[in-house]
Amino acid sequence: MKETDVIVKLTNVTMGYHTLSHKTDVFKNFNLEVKKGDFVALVGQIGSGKTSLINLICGFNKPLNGKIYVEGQEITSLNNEKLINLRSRLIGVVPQTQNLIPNLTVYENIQLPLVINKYSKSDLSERVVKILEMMNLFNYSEMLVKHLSVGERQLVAVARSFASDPPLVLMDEPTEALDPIMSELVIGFIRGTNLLKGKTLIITTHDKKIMDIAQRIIRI
Amino acid sequence: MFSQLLFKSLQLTKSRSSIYIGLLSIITCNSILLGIFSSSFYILPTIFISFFIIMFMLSSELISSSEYIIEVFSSLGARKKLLISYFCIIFLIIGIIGIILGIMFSIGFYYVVGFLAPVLLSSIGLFNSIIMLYTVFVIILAMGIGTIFGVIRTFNNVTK
Repeated sequence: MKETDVIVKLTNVTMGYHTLSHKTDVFKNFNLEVKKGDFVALVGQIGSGKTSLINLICGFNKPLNGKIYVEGQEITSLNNEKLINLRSRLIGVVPQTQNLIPNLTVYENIQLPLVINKYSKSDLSERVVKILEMMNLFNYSEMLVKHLSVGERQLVAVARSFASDPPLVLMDEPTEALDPIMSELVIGFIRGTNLLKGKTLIITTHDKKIMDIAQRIIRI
Repeated sequence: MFSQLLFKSLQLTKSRSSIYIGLLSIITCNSILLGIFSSSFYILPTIFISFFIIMFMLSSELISSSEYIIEVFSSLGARKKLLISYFCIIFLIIGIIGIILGIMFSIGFYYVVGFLAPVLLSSIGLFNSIIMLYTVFVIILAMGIGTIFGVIRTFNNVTK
């Protein structure tokens, strides 16, 4: 595999939570290479470190040891500003907690990363409308997020992660709170973005349907 | 558009803020009525303490929601320095509004009691003036502490 084909690389990464009295290692000397356009499913028991791994790749947490590269850039040594810049250019994230603002509408929540990253008004509106249509959320666009069900919020979180068209999207259990119909919609959408747009997807999941369509399954 | 979304996000606390403001109005009205009819100004400390607690709770409420908003905005790529400046401005505006309201309330209180109970006022005029100044001082102090507390908490949160 060429070095330029690799979008995410972890070398000898150790992650744990150390306090003065207690040391818990989540995983030790973990190695991973994900190439551009890959669809990777991270599976494992609860507490095995799937979410920690996603947080490390996003740069939300730092590892105890080892190095993490995103698009060839070593992120563990980057300062906060540079990390935020890199994340906003390259990474879309759907965290387990969804991280939506309840008091904003669906439209506003989806446009938030675009506003933050200073997209022009016309480009911004075009992208949001397109993603709302793709996710079947157009009729919800003016609704406040706090009035949506958990499943609908999850759809909004997924839509928001793709709004700025990032090459790499990380999702933490995206279908966990969804009913079968919504789950199909999300799986179809993410599969489409992977096949048609070549997005790299790293998804933590317990959902067999996602495991079935993933190109690689990594157990941690 | 960024600041619009940020301010709109902060309305997360609007319903709870209304409860605090409602509480404040009830306590103020009751205190004024008690002050007039009981011929006693000993009720004043109750107002001061209530004001202090409610303003402090209001500031804390805004701070806790701002922490969540900072987390979401920065995870989506917002610069932390920019967020810090916005939140400092927001807390300062709240502080200034609090101080203005505090002064208006104190002056209003002084004149309402003065108008409705002239006998009472003339007998303890000096004491009442001191109390009025003390009211202004305590309210300014409450809002000042709330504002400073908010700014420090925001700084701590975003520079973690």
